[in-house]
Amino acid sequence: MPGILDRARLELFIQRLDYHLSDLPRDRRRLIRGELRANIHAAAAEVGVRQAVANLGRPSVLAAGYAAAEGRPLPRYRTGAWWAGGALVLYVWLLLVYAMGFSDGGQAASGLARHITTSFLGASIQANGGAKSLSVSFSAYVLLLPTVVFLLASRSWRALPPVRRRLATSSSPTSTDANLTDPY
Amino acid sequence: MTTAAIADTLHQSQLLKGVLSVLLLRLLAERESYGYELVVRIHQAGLTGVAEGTVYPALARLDREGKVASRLVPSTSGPARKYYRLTPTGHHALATGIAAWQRLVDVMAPLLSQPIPPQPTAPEGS
Repeated sequence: MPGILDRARLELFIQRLDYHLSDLPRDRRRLIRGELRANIHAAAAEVGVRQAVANLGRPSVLAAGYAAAEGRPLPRYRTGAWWAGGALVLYVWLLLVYAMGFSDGGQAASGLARHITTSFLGASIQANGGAKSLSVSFSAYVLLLPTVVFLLASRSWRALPPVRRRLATSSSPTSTDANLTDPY
Repeated sequence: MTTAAIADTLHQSQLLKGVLSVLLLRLLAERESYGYELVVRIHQAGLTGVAEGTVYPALARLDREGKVASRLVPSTSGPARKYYRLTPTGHHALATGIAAWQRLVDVMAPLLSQPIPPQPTAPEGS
């Protein structure tokens, strides 16, 4: 039974690997983690956990090997999440710039007492000159932009099973994979 | 490990990359094994340059391709181990792989066994 430090070392490696495997389906990742744990335990009995983990190389490289072993292009969820986040930040920034400009311009043109409204890409902007307030309300359409960006940037269509496999009528699972799950 | 040994290991690793699948199938044709056991058997055969990090994904690929099947065997010293065995598809792939390897050796061996000339000769016609 490895000590606390060795267990932490093993867990850290597994978690780092899992992060890099994030483009694989969840069940597949669980199987890989489970099998790898068993292999590391076996290796650790001979060379210790530190060396057993070191012998596996960098988690990113190992994960790339597993991804390549899938034999098909995978969706890139992490990339998609970064792009969607970036799109959201850009949208909020544009919205703020537009709202401030609208508020200043509107007040200058219409006088301080006027209550003026406009819309910008799914958001409604209200400026009240008298109260010197600016409010922005969003509709559900705002979520459309990051969602579309995520779907495109992550190449999410790759998650769909190939047409040939979908058309296949019979499937006979013979592997024990379903039983090899990572309990952690 | 010296720099030369590391370079040799890396070189060996690159050379073996293309035939790792055949090697794994050949070992599994002898007996069922789990991942780390295969690594040990490969190293014991003298191929110390083969890294664990290349063996496990290669096994995953063979499993996906249906060339090996697997079953779980409980272990007294840790999590259950996934033992791989050859399938009929794997047997066929092994035979094909060995034949391809033999053809490559038949071509390469006579070429590489000739003594290396000290200087390359001038191009013909010059």
